[in-house]
Amino acid sequence: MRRRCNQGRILVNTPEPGRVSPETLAVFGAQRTAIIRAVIARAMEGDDGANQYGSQTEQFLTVGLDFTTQALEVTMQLHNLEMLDIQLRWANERLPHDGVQPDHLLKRYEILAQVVETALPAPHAQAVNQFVQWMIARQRELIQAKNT
Amino acid sequence: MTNDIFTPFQAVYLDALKQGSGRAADKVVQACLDDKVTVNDIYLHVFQPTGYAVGQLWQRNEFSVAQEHLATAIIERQMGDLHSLFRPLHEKPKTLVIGCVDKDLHRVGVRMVADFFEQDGWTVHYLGANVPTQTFIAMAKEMNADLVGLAAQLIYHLPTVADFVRELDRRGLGGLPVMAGGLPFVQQPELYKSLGVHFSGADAQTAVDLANQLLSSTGDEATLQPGAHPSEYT
Repeated sequence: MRRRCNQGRILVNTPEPGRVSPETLAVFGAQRTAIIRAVIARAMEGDDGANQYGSQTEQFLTVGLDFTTQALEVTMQLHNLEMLDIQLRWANERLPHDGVQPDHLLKRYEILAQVVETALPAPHAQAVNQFVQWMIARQRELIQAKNT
Repeated sequence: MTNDIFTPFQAVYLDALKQGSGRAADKVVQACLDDKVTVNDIYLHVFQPTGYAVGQLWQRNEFSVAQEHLATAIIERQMGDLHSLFRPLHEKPKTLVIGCVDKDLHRVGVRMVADFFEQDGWTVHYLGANVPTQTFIAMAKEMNADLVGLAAQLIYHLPTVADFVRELDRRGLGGLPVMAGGLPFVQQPELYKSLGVHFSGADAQTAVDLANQLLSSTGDEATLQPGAHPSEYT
């Protein structure tokens, strides 16, 4: 299903996420720090550029994922995909100057989806991952737009 | 005056900030005043667009954090210099309590709004940056505020706006009108509706105009239509 958002532009070829329940928001909020830690651990195991910061890697990834998951949380609260899109575009413009490439972001969002899948009870994980999958699809689109 | 008239001033002003030169920026402001540009127009058409431009420069890595802070400090210092020119022509029996929500440190925009309300004759209590919700509300109650102004510049400050509205309700102050401002509200003009606040304005003059419009029926709070109550989504 294609959807329109933000000044009428077609954004992503993925279903629009549904509303998230207060229970899911509470579960996600309670597990957010643990989710960040798990994503960082997996990112540092992989070869996605996460290790380029040397001894500061964990600190940098924590800051980035803290912002990402807070943005995700607010987006889910307000069910406001345009806001998430604004944040993704901001990240893709700013973060390459800090050594974080769009491909790195995509890989971390993919890891985030995997971690959410295992960290939260199934119905909550499914609700949150609707939004994470939307982020992943939008990130792929932004990378494609940059490369063409 | 059309906005085009201010473009040369704004361009030279931005150049001054790129150089990090407060003195050069002062000369631009003085040139504006010599040219009979009002302080309102200096705020709206020189300071505000330059502030956004500085943010863009940082985003594109053309400004360091230090350069951004220096530019902000110059603008804020000049606002202090110009404050006396915002003297009200008349007084209104209206009180505004305004500041940044808890943890938000971006106070330049909200200070602009405070100055415009002061000029419009309101009694203004400008609380600055990073105001904890409880003490913010206590001040609004103590000052018998007719309106509360909240600034939230980053999206993760938005839940604090919703929490603020809920806390007003909890304290029996649910009828107190609330306006909100900051970059997320400029990017999404309808955003305020989902946070339970009454309105937001893209700039200081719009905020004053909307506030006067909404409060024109004194005491008739039924005419005010806030956005969806935040309890509807949390």
